Amino acid sequence: MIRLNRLTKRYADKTAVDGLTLELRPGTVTGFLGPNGAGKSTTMRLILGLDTPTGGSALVKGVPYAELRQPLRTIGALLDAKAVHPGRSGRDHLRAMALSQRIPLRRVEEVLELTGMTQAARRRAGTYSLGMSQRLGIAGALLGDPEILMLDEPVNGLDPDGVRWIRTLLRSLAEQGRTVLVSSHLMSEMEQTTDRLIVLGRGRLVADTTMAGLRAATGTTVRGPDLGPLAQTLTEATWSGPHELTVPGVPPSRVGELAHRLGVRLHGLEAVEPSLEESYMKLTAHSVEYAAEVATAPQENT
Amino acid sequence: MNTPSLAFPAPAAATTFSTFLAETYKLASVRSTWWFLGGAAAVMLASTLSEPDDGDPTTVPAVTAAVHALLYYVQYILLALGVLVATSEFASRSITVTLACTPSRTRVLAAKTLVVGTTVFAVGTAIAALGVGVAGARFDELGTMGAQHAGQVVAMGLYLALLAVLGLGVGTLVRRTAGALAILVVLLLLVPELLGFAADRLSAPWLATFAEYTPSPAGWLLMSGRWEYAPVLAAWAAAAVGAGAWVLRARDV
Ligand SMILES: Nc1ncnc2c1ncn2[C@@H]1O[C@H](COP(=O)(O)OP(=O)(O)O)[C@@H](O)[C@H]1O
Ligand SMILES: [Mg+2]
Repeated sequence: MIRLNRLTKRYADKTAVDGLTLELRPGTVTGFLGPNGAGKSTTMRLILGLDTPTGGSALVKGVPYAELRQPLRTIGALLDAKAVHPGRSGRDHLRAMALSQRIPLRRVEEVLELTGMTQAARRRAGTYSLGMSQRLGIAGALLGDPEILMLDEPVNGLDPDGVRWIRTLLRSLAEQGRTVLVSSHLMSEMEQTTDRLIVLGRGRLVADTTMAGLRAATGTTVRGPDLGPLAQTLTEATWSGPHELTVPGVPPSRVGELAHRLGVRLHGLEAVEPSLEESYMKLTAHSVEYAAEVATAPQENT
Repeated sequence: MNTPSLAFPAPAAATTFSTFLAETYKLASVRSTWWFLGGAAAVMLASTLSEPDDGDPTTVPAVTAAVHALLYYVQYILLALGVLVATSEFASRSITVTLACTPSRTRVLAAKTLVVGTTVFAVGTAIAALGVGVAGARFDELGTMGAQHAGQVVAMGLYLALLAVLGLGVGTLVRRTAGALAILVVLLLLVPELLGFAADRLSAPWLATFAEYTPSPAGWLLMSGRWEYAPVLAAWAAAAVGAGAWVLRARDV
């Protein structure tokens, strides 16, 4: 579907995307997650051929975007909702897009209906709210009835109704067998929508996981009269009380084994399940602070 | 909940003609286009209605009046239209949508060139005819006009079209409206002045000859019936669009 191979984009003073390799599978909603500046939008621009990569490649159905015969039939994208001529009406914006692809003009009315934009279609796009612009952008992405959809922060600026609408839409699109890539900098937006999560930090792949996988990153709290040796061995352990250590990312079984080997007496051993938000924060905080070590992030401390 | 359906048969592959249609629709669907074209006609009308008879029996004042209106006012309006066809897409970032629809950047620019060229040629010729007609009626010389003057009207349309295409090329090259207009004003107004001044001061007549090959003097000569200057203007337009295409292909948007 979409295949990125060591995709790299360097701007004058900044590596926005750094050796990104991944493949999107059909029929899934893939969440593209990362803090602001992580490189999500740049990756999408590279996929559409709007920017030229410094290295590596981005292929859509096996070819560069520029070689697609009918790009909007294959992949519909919403990159920047405000990227519309302010003096042109929403309907005319979509009609021009349709004409460029020989898509019948009645399809414009369909996607306007689908996105609830029929009423506003006559107005000039410059008068739209951000939410309306997002809907127009999604209408444009759906125009060619594409196999792949790529939406950059589509929830941005939508009211709660709009957010619910997007979620349902994304799910139904995936159920029809389409491939959906949707980016966000907020974990909470992904929770109910995505099958697969790709987490980006500083242009690099930080995690390629599922919701369940992210949740399973269990940590441990451990209590005992003298936990000193344990604290020395487990570098990520922090004191959460005078006789209590918290060890993120290491499951209770491993902490227990280690305590046994070190001969440390335990009074309590509990699993802590971080919220998705916490797991995400931890992943990306890590990538920001220790970007160079992420690829070989040590899990083993024993 | 709404679900999109495979609601239409697969269209035939998009062609250069579909890009041309899309660009035509884009030009026609913004109000500013109509303001520019209407404004150009209004200015031509106002100018030719107020132009005094030059009293020179060897010239046809009606044509002179139209050429004056064109060189002083009308050309800048249509030049700006050509510039904006390129720069408005960069200003609004809608160029990303355009290129997502049509990834071939040369095809996009070729379509824009064709649309701007044909539109301004048609409208420009009509505006020139309007100016010559109005001034001719005023000076009571419509009866004395012939094929030569009709040719001059067509030359005016051609000049305006090539100038608008020049604007499109420079707009694509620099992407900013203000920057493009500044470059064009320097090229149209300042460069011939400076060359003429230098030719005088340095007693270098070849500089004056050279000045004739810059757009506005060449346009003036073309509209005086010197058709050999049409290729000169076409070369300027082609150079600007060529440079614009080269940069558009090479640069990120
Ligand atoms: N055209 C550009 N020129 C220079 N730097 C850029 C450009 N586009 C993006 N960047 C930089 O690249 C990084 C990634 O940006 P972006 O892809 O927009 O991140 P995200 O969408 O994840 O927030 C940021 O630091 C941004 O400042
Ligand atoms: Mg972004």
